[in-house]
Amino acid sequence: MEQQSYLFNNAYRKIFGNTWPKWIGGVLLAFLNIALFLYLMPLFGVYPAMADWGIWTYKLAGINIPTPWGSTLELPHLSSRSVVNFGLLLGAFIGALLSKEFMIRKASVGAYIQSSVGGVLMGVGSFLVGSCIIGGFYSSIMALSLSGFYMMIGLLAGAYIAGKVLPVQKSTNISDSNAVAAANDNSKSHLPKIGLLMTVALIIIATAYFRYNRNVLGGVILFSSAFGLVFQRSGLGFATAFREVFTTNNNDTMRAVIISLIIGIIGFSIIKAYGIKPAYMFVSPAGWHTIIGGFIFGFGMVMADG
Amino acid sequence: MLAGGLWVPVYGSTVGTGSLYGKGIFMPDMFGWTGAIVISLAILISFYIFITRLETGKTSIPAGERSL
Repeated sequence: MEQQSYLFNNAYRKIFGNTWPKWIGGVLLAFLNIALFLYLMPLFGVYPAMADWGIWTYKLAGINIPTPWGSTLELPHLSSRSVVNFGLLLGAFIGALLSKEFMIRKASVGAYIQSSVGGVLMGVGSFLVGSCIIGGFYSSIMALSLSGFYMMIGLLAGAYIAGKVLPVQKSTNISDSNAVAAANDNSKSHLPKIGLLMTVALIIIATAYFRYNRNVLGGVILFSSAFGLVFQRSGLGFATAFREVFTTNNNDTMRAVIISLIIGIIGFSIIKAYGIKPAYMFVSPAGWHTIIGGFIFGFGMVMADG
Repeated sequence: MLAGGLWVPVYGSTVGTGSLYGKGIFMPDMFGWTGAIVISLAILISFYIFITRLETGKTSIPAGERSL
């Protein structure tokens, strides 16, 4: 019993004690995306749901706007696009709680304004590309869509220009996260308990989806929560990857993203070449709008520091 | 979120339609399966080498002379 407790504590500390190496995050994300592609389709990112939520907000204000997809606007909990976002947030939240890293951080008014403007630019860039950085860059490259590389060019250019013209913002890095966790070790021991409750809530939600024949949504929330957990534990952010290329002398994040893309390309190619999934799945239009959209998105994400 | 929701009013058309977007370009259609995979991996590996060299170049510059 003591040995079991020791093993459990050791395993828990390894998984939630310290931030995972970025390359491990990259490898896990690649395999998760390959598995999700086999299950449904690649991770299409947060933008589709953000557009839906924007339309819901306008609808509540009395302004009716058609959806970008030409489809009926679904209730968020019944839309796979929204459930992806819920899962990503929930997974990241669980990871932060279990590792005692959850903290509400305040910023200056100027930082909020700058982030808001950056967010608007990211929204504008997203709808020029047709997707956000995850769908438009990450999954598109894995799916051998030329649009992924076009967006990459735009992102690099936008991040480069923003890095030159904008003041450097202080952002939380790995060492800060570990320091926060260490400081919270005794004082916030209730956080893992809340994390455990949230994990149980996730299982209940997924079970409810399966129980009521919403199998796709059940799988989607589990997959996207896993993505969220890996993003949080490894600190792997695509925006950070592009920002760091030209503003810092540490490109571990971008290297991890590249490793992830290489694994993903191989996996997706096997799946498509053998006809397991349609070859044209997740292949998006590529043109000047993709590069310009990538540029605006890249500039905006550096501005928003996220 | 609010900016993204304005897609149709700004563009006047839905995703994938209209003159702005055009057709999807699947790389194996242009370069064959082998060519597409080789080109994609070559781009990524070249970029990997580039950012590693960029990193090495930055660390060799004295701290006081580094620019953002």
